[in-house]
Amino acid sequence: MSRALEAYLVQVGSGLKGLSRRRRLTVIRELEAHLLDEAEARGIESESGMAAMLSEKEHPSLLAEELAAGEGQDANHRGGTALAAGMIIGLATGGHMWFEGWRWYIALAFAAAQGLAVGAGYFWVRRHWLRLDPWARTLVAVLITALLSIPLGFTTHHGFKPTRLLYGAFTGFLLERHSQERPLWQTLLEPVVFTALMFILEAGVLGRIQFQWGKVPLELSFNATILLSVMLATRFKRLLAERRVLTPQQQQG
Amino acid sequence: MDRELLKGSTPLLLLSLLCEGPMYGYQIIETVRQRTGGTYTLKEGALYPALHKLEATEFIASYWETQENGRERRYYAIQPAGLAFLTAKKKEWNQFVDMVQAFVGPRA
Repeated sequence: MSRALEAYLVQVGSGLKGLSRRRRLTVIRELEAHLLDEAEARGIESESGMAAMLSEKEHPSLLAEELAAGEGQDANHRGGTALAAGMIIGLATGGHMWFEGWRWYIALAFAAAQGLAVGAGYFWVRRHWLRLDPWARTLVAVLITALLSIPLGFTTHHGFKPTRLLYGAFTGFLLERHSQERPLWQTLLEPVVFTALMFILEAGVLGRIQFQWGKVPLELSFNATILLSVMLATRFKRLLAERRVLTPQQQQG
Repeated sequence: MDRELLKGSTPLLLLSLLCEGPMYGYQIIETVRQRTGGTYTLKEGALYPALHKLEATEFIASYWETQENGRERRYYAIQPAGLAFLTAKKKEWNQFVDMVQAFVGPRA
């Protein structure tokens, strides 16, 4: 690497205050790639040419200040919106259980697990699979949220209930599919199909419960609550994202 | 040109460019410079914070790609949420332009 470029990057790096080491390395790596692209496009090969090009750039300390300015706000936005959206889902589902007549601590545990682990957890890790195609994204979301929903399995009176993980997987499916506009008929069908699937599994395959038509409205309303809370959470998150994008960058300090 | 006005329009400008396909930082700066005939030059200190902000909101996503010469580039690609946001904002922008033109008059 050119000595002038190395010195410039070191100066920028030392001015990147408040960033984690990993983030700082990424920012510097990106800046290095950028400057090498520019040097290549301008046909600069000599050390003096690189030094001249860098002298046209912003002062390293000023550039570092500008680069670091939004980083903290970006991280806060990411964490804050994930938590808020997750809590919407958790409060809705936990609240539904409480109205159903479950003990308050079971409903609270379900709300916390569904809201923090499944909802917030999904929003927190989602950026890692954003570039996959829609079907692969949905598959990854279902698998990840099924794993994240392991704590949900313990929100019963009698030990671990594996079918609870399906509620997490269903939430993940809905979160991924509703990150874009969905046709109304598909939206209406989703809780109906999942309710049928749960009864087939619990009553037909596992034989854990006896099927009764009277139980259908309760199960259906619970799954519809998951759907509505997911729609509300994704819209709320999008609204906050729009506000964040349209807000001018604030300088730190 | 009013710098504050340009600064406020940077996210929409970037999303519009990325609609055409994934781009890397220097490519974005060059495209903007060429299309504005050199009247608007995006500096690194304005470009990257704007890109990182759009990425934090999941309107765009980034990935590294190794070139034939072994060097790496970080590409940015628009996401469905970014596209939906841009479509809505374009509509608002066109309404705003129509309204202003009703008073100021079209470009001579």
